[in-house]
Amino acid sequence: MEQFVRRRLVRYVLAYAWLLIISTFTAFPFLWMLTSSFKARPEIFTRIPVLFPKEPTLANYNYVLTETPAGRYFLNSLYIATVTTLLALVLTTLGAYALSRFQFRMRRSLGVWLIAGQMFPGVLMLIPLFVTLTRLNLVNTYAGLIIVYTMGALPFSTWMLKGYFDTVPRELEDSAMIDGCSRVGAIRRVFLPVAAPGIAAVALFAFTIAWQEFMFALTMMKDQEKYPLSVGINFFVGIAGSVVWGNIMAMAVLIIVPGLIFFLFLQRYMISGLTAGAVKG
Amino acid sequence: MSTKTLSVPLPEGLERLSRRLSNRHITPYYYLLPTVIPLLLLTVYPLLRGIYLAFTQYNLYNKDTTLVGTFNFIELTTNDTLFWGALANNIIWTVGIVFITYMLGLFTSIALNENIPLRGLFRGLALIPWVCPAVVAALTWRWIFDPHFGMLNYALMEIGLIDRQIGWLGDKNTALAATMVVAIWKLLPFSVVMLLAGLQTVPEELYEAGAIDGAGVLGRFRYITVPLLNRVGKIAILLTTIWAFNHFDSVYVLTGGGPGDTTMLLSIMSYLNAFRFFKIGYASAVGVVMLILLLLPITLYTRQVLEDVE
Repeated sequence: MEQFVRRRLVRYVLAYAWLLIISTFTAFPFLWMLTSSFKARPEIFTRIPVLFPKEPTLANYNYVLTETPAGRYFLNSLYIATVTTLLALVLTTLGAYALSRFQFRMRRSLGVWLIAGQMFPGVLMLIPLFVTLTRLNLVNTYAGLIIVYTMGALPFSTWMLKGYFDTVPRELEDSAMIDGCSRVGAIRRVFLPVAAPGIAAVALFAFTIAWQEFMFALTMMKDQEKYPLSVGINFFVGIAGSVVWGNIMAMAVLIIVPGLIFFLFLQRYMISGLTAGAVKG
Repeated sequence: MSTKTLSVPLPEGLERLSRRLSNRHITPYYYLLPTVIPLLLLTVYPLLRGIYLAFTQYNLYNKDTTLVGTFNFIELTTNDTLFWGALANNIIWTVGIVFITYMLGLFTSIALNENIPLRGLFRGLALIPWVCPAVVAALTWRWIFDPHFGMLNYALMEIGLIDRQIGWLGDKNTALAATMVVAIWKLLPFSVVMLLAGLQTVPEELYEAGAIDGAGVLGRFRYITVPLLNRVGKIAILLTTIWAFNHFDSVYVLTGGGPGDTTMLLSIMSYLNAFRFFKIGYASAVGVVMLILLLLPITLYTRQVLEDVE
């Protein structure tokens, strides 16, 4: 018994030691970003780096929100990501429902395409899409980016959601339909409420893609006032140089906060959604 | 909720059409079409078009397309001094990232699978890079790597591991490794989530049974954990491989391919050719080479996922 307890203790100590090391690696850049966004200039350029500012200041946020178009970038990103999420939600719910509930020809090949579709080199897709969207006059428009992001989210979301829908028993809609609901009614009243966590995961996934994406936005958006945050912050660093780290970190915090809030609320759904296709439990 | 709202019988032809449209075999397509059409338009079409462009010289301004056969590929493999270096970088970068991310993810998920206090907090901390856009990650790390004001040099000099400041991103010897650190940082959460989910499907009784039968910690790891992680592990590795191989954002922001092309990856090379030198066909050829190299992992991954479903 004593040996058992000792072994368990060793395991705990090892686990904690490792978790401390790894969370220093994963979380330190965030801590650094967050505290630096409250630093005044002298504390940024010190030979000995300061982690926590002695006199925290909001000057960086003030500057970024009033003197740079960061607020504008933020709204651009919010608009693009919200519309993308809504579009992706409707399209993936329909597609995933069909894949999960119906037998039809090409079902398997469609599945293959959904899985493989997200794997192709981004640049290989970027070039023809850019050429095509130029012809359609959609370059340098929000609509163009929204279309591209919805496409980016579709394959994986549909597959992920299909995996989730498969876990919802078919009898649920069947009995609702026997009770006189139409299929659409059964889906709306009975199926969707049960499937909500999976759908929430898709929302988070689509929002994250649109919020974080860089390469397409960098290529498509020509007008500065249409930049989303990811391109905006890089542009700002390009013109201001790296001397304004405090400002840059304040902007970085603005980018991360919405994603972080979303993540904290939907973390569980995201994880169960992501692993639904991969792990049969 | 009656379906007999139409009391007037439909004409013969319409009746048949209506019956056909509500047929079981057609219903799925009502649901699928809105998803499938955009999907085909936006993934199949660009893919085919991209492959086609690789065999052309395309002018972005007058939209002139000239078929040039395999010219771009021959030029790429025989005359471009960048290509083979970028290919080698891509392979080193991908293999290194996949291996390290998997090992870190494995240890972290095993530690997180222990029933210890504060487990939720540590899980959150391990997953946090997930919410950080690659651009922001790159900018923050750029500062950490800064030779004069960066935290890394300061910390390493304090412990005495190095005795002079190193410009991690500016030095040809360290730049590729430094960019890899950022990519690993960003990919680690995924690996942790996958492997942790895999571990949690392993019933505790199995370990107890193993312990009773006399298997030590290593034995249990080798004969219980490893085989059971096989499937999730495979998926995690294949996905990380594909993502790392295609990666663009953070390297573009960190180094843009420099110094001296030591961090030049195929995706960066393709991007610069397309949008800085406007060699659309040539850039597409680089993309096609990437696709060919990825065919094996993509096939393996697709097969694995489908196998799990059936």
